[in-house]
Amino acid sequence: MPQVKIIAKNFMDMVAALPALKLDKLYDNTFICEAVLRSLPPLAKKYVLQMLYVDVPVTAKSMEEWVLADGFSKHRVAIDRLIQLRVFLESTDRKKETSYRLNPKFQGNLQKYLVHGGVLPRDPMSSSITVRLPTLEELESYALNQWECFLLQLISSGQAEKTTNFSSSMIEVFQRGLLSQRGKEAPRLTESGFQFLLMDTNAQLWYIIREYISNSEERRVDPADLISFLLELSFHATGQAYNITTLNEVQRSIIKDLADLGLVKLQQGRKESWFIPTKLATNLSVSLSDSSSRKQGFVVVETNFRLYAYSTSKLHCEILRLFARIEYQLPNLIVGAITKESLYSAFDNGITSEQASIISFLQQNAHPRVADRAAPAVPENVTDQIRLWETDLNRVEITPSHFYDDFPSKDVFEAACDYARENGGLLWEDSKRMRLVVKADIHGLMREYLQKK
Amino acid sequence: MAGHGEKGRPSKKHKSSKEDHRNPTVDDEDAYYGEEFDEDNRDGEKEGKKRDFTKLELKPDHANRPLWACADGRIFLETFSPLYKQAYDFLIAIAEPVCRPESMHEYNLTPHSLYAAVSVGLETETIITVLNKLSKTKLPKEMIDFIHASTANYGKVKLVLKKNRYFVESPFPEVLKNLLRDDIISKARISSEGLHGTDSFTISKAIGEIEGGHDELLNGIELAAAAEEKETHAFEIDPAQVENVKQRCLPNALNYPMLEEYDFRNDTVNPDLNMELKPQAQPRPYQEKSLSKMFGNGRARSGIIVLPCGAGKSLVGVSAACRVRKSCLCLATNAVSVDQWAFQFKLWSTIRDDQICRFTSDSKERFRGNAGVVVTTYNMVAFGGKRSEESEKIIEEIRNREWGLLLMDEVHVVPAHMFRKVISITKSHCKLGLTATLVREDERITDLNFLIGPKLYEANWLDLVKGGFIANVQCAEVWCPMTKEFFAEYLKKENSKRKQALYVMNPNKFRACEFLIRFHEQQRGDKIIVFADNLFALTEYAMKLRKPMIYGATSHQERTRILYAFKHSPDVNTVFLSKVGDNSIDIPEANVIIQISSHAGSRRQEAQRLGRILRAKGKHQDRMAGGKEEYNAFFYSLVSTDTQEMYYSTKRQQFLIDQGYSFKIITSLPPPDSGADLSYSSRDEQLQLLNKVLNAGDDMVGLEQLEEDTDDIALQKARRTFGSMSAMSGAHGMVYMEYNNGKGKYPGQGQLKSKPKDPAKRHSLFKKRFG
Amino acid sequence: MNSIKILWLSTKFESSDLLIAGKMVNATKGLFISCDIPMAQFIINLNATLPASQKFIIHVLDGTHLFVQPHAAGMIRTAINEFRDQNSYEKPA
Repeated sequence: MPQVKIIAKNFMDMVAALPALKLDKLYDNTFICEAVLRSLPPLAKKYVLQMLYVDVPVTAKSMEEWVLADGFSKHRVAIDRLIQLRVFLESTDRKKETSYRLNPKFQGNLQKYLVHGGVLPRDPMSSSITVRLPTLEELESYALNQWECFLLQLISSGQAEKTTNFSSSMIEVFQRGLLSQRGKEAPRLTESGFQFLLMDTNAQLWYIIREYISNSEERRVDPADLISFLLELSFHATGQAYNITTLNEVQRSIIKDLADLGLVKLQQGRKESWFIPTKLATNLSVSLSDSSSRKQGFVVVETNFRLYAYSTSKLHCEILRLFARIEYQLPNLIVGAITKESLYSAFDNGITSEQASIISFLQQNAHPRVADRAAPAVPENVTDQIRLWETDLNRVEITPSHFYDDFPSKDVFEAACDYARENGGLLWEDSKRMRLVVKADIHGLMREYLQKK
Repeated sequence: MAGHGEKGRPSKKHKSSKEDHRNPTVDDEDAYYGEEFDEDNRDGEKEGKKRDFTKLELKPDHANRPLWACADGRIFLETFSPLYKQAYDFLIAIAEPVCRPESMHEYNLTPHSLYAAVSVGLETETIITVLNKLSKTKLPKEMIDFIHASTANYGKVKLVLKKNRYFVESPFPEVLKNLLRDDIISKARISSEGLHGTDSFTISKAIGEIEGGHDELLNGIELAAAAEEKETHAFEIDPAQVENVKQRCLPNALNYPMLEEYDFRNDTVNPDLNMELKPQAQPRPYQEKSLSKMFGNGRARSGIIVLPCGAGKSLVGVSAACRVRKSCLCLATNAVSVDQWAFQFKLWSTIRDDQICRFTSDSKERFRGNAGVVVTTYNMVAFGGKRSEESEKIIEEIRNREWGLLLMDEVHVVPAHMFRKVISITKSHCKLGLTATLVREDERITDLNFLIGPKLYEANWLDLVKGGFIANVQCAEVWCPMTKEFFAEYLKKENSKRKQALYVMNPNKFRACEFLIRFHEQQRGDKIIVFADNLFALTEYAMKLRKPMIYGATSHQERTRILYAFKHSPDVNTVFLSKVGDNSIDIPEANVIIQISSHAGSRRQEAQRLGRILRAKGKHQDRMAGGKEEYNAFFYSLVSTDTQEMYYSTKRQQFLIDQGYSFKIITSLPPPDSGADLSYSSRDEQLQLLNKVLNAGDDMVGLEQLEEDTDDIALQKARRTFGSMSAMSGAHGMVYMEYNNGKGKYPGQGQLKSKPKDPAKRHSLFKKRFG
Repeated sequence: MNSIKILWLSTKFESSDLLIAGKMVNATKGLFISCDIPMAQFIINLNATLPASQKFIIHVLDGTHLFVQPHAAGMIRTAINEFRDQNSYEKPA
């Protein structure tokens, strides 16, 4: 049994969470084996390769001898991972000894892959059929644009110029947790929603894809098929055209959704139609677990709290509007000011100044001109003031509670204190005058307790 | 010149130039003149409209161009552009700076700023061409129209004093004809000799602009055009009518505001003053630039030059006087300043001792010969009451002489009505105003434009810091929490008059102050000035810490003694000053300032105090970024948290923030483990102090009132009262106001003497001040 | 003085008397406020300015804790926000 708790935070975790049969079926696909191999921690990779041509189970004990003493924790992590993913299969013999061997499907396909290389189920189309393909830059800006449109629609601001093809129910699925609707009011971003917007693109993409996969069964699509296709996509060549007819039914049904998210571009020729994977798709399995791709920063914050964002993106404008007052919009510049008022409305909405939010957003997106100098990218007096404004908001904590006094004896008093403390509800006590304050939500318990005494 | 408000923009609807310069009144929601009086009442709704200029077309090489220009007059400038320097010089000549921090500047194009541009010789088409060249986008049509509309009438008419005769000049005869249709002007006209009844104008040639400030930005053809000789037409007017004619030309009347230029080279009537700049007087680049704006076409233009404190405006003044080489009347705000100016004249120029004299309550000198320099105070000249016989004689001479240059120091401190008086009393060909800040809390900024002239040049504080010309100051706001008992009293309604006293005497603030003094004295050997507007606090602090103090009533002797010791003695390193330190005193070099109480939001005062430590010290290379001592000057504002002081403190800082300074917030002074090392560590001591504050008389816990502080008066009152103005001009039969030297038979006499007798003023003003 | 006050106040608010060993333990419903010293002073002062019928502080527990009536939260927060706004200068747009 895996000893490390799984937190589904990347694609492979999702793969690992699939039921055994489905997972095994996935390993029918050579590319998936390769992708899984790529995603393993280094030690696990080594073990796989070591076991690749070994047909018999190897005892856990002898495997442990492969590592030095100080590498033991890494060893455990690697083994656990391999088991989660069903790359290793565990068996126990009569002597209660554990052994491992490679999943035969996985093993077979990986051996094939090593020897023969991978063959995609489809080839790029010849350029005689495909009309002018977009250049890589065009493709990249297309992908970015699609993604932005999607996000804008998601936060249901009126800024999206065109809407995506996602059904409204699909959009609602995505919005779940990010937006809240109260009766007839317009939906508002939740705290998670705000934080989502301030995350970088890869993290956002992962979130959406995860929701998409999780929801696939409701749409009568097998998540394994979906994962399999997405993984396969990551092996395609960015910018090449692939015929739609090479897609099976399931894949054809989801290709439009993927286009809406910017993972592929759909084009139509005279007789044929094709899809072109973008960088977002080809980076999927690799980059989703780490946010290594550095975006170009674009924000300059000045010591006088004014904000200059070198961007044309409406999305950026919306994001900045979350915590700053926007004053001018120029063709390639957004000018604003961070004021107490604008920050307070952000704080009201649950965005914090620090943690994954405003300050780190500003720092991570700092324009190279200010990021590359010795002084801090965001002026210190600005970050200090933002934090101070936030602390100012939280100076008074108010908790519904009950005040107890007139205790008959010290013992009863102390017992009450202990009881309240044990239940996590003791807010304040004064042993000299025998008074205490207890959270309202355990008042009922307190009453019972005291009445029993 | 309007100040650094954000409201300098023209409204989108283009008013005709007639409407552009309405006479500002307090209630006027004036879109052009920066300083609102009462910012809290501003109507924010109009400003809330988002300005969407995304449709502007970016030029293909926009990355190489340094600025964006928006249809509402707002201009953004990238400081990291290779064209920054030239772009800055150009923008500062045509627009008003809104803020100039490190990476991005903002400016506003206003009718005023364009007036100033034209005054220094920039033509409409040049402005548009260069602006377009520097702009990342095609210039919005609205802006082009605006520039045309605003400059349509500016610079078309000049008032020139030649050989003692006044001429109204213009390259456009139609304009002159227009003017002459006005009754007053036509009555003022003196017809040309020998011509009876004809209305022809005298015609002459004048040299066009020769300064090459924008050559890199203009191509050869344009440059040649700029230097071309122009034909000018003129008619003469009666010298006695000059003021009237000028007034008629103002925008609220005929709207052909006149530029005043002095053709000093061809002035054969007024005697020359033989003085030159000494060779060792090496003007710095920004000083040269400002002078070139003043003398750009060979004549001397009237106007205002803005340089940060400590950047050497005296040298600019002296240089200007040396170029004009005629008699110069130099006006300063107080007697000490007079001494300083006289000293500067002698330091930088070859002027002989007998050619320069001072006129103050203490010195009644006269210069020998028929040309010279007189240095005096505004008060001395403007005073309308009875003078001593000697003074009367000198004033008479000043009145009768034709001065080549009227040199006016600290123009933004002096009340506007005082200028009016001085300018009407004296006859001068050219007026140069010098100041560090274009900020006033009253509404009188615009008057200065028409009384003195437009802004000629304004230096950039941060650039000067980078260039090592002024000190690199670390500004900090130290947050001192109120103690429980002090805060409880502060909140009580019955103590509303003592609010200030309570937040200033906050024991935690005291401790922070003590700690800072100790730190800077002992660990760095710095010289420290502590400012306190509140006399009660000043006395308590200074006495408890055993440091010398100077305030309004301190005798001249005492001041000299203390300041001498401060300057020379290694044992006297800290001095406490009241508001007198802002203007009246010759503060020797200090490099630390601590403010423990200051004034209800006066931005000018904040900037001026900072100026006390801006004189750059140490080796040039050490001061550059990365050098041994990047920060060598420190400016601390101690603020009691959760009190009104926070509000005022932030407000005061706005001007400096707009220049690019940032205030670091320090919340942990003194260090928590200081305990008994510092005073008032025990609750008993604190309570004793609290009692003292609560029991002090009402008049003791307020601010020191110095007469010349107009910002003070303006901040407390919405309108000038009859009382304050008449008090200044002596209409109340006040004894001769020889303020600032504190000379008197008994302590406090200096102050007493000048307290106005208007009971209304003393009563409500004083009480209101700390409500 | 204090005990009389508490008795008087507890007749106004919801309180349940718990009979234990023949003696009463008094429980009063309200809001527990935890804050810094200046804020505590502010709230105390706020209370003092109100007429007797509107006073909301039940107990001043110590320098940084108060116990107040259940409905007072909104009013306290509004007053604090106003006070804070008065003391902060925002440069107008």
